[in-house]
Amino acid sequence: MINNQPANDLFYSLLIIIVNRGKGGKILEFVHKKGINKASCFLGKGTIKNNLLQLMEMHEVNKEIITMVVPFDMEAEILNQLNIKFHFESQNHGIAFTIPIAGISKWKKDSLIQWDKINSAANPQGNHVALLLVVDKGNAERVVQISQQAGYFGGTIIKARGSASKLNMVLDMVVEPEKEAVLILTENNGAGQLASLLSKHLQLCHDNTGILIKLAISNAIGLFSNNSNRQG
Amino acid sequence: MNDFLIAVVTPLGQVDQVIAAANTAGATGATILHAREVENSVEKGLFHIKVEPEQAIILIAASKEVAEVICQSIHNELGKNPKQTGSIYILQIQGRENIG
Repeated sequence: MINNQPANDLFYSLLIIIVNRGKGGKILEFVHKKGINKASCFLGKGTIKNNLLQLMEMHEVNKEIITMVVPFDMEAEILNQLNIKFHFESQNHGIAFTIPIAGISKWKKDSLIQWDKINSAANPQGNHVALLLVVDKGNAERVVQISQQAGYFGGTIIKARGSASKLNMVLDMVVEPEKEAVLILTENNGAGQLASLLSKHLQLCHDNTGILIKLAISNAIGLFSNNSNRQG
Repeated sequence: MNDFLIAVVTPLGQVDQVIAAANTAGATGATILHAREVENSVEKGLFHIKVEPEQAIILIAASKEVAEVICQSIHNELGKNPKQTGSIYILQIQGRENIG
């Protein structure tokens, strides 16, 4: 059932770009010109670490998150071109990073998963990792607050809905719980500490509290180190 | 680690079918993100309004064995109809907390 040979010997990466709302269209137009025809875009919320803005309730920024699949050998070139065009190397211009794809399956073409042997085995290690938390609605801001108070980066909050396999049936209506996904990027060496800190504060060891997933990042631009005020 | 994050990219109308197929195959839960697709965006009509179809990204965490069964089940459920389109991307998880 499983085809261990990657399709056409091509390996892919998931390119994720997080920018301020309104800039997404320009980026999509740009990548379309570079030959990437398929992309998804969804809306999110970012946070600014500034006490004065927090007092005035102005610390949230609307964001757009763009995801697309790019060939593994082209990811560095695409990131470089994005950097030249949209100045990700400057602060507050956005973040772009790639996550290696371990397997891929297209409904129309094949029913088999094309496992990427190179990526899943070697798993290229960058300096950063992505933490994806899925928590109940209302807890996402707490997650970002805990992360920032401990000296780590902030996060991007994305609205989501959950779908448990055991559905709650109330008056014959299916109830889908509202969720929030939080995407936090952090350095490789501090990720374990942050994960355990969040796990402790959100009591993730208990059922129905949320999940936390750590994903490897192979390439990233737009991230700036802030480990000077980090607490354990 | 032998855990994977399955990201199913599908048109919004097929979300329930995908989740039902995944649950049948052994998925313990899913998170749905509401997105918009850019591939098929075309300018239509008199005023050349740009149409971007609605899309959903369904995230399911599972082991490798379960991931294979889930993908097969989704394909069996939705792959027969040539009008239905979608893709499944699988990302390797490095570490996790509380995945049922």
